[in-house]
Amino acid sequence: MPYPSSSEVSSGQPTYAAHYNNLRADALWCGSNNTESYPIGEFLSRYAANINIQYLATNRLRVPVDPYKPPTIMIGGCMLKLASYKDLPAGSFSGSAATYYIHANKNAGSRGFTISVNTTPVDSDTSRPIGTCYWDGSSISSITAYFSNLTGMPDPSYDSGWFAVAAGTVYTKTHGLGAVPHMYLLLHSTNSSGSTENAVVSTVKISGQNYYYAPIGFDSTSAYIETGTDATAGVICSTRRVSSSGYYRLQVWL
Amino acid sequence: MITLIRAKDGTIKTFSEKPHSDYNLVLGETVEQLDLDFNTYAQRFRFSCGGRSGETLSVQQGSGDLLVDLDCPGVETVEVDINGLVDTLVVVNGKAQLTLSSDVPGVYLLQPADRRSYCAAGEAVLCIEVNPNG
Repeated sequence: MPYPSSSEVSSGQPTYAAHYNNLRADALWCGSNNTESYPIGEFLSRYAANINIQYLATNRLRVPVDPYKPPTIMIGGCMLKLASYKDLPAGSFSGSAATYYIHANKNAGSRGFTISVNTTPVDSDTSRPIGTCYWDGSSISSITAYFSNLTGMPDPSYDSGWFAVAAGTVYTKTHGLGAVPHMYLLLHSTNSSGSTENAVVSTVKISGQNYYYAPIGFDSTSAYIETGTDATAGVICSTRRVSSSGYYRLQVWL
Repeated sequence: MITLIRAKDGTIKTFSEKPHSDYNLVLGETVEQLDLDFNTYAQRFRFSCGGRSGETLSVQQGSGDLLVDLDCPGVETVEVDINGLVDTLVVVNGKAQLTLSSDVPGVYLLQPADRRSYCAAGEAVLCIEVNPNG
């Protein structure tokens, strides 16, 4: 398939239907035709890229802008781009706990977009969902961006920070994510700053038993960490470290 | 700002460098917010032996005396619980020392005796395992 199929027209040269149709084929189907290609506007109608979503205090959201990778989206056939960050207005969340859908909104007379939230994922000629967040009734606890360009492991949805631990104790940590996390990491440090080796906690020991147990469970609200009762290995029992004290740090991903 | 959680009996269960949502506390636990640095609070009562803390130390029987250091600034004496027996240590310039024997196999578990003032977790608990020869 030659591309482009249209050709230049010289000054004074009459233009014919073939010129127009070739030009139209180039514009709509990149030189192809409507039986082998979707029109470019339709092809790009679901396009969106570089739309990261950040938490903004208090209980707000922000779409940041990297000038080299600006947030772009097509809504209602219009190609929109942000030149500066866009914030969710204050007071956008209310009522009981729910998953909120974050929408990009096209506004008349503007080539940018604004953001809003509501509890429905349905899009329209003026709105498209670009992510979700969970509202626990008082605060936002997790954010998912559909069109993020962030690479590598995302920041954890919940991070307990370091807390002091001892053997034979249950520690309840409220992650507030609204769902059981997909992944977690429980770390142990021998000092409060976490500057020593962070050993991964997989098993703890129960006093008087030669069995080793995983110490953690989750529900949609909390993580329950139960250290073992053994005086020497109740907090961590691994080839890297044995301890019945020290500090834990829990990170989870939704 | 750190978070302190007390058990129903008033003893300090844990302290955390981040705020704690209190609606999931075990019945009877209470939460306090303290305007203190987490690391500073952790140093209020800190055992170490041979420069190591927060982990179980393992030594061989008959390997000599075990010198345990205690950092406990701001007091002149402090009570420590060693395997359930309470001993009072003199604190000089925020530091105290005690010596343990490695002659007999067993486990030493050291922690603060006053658990309403000091949290028996983190670096305030030290476990030393004396392993038998042979």
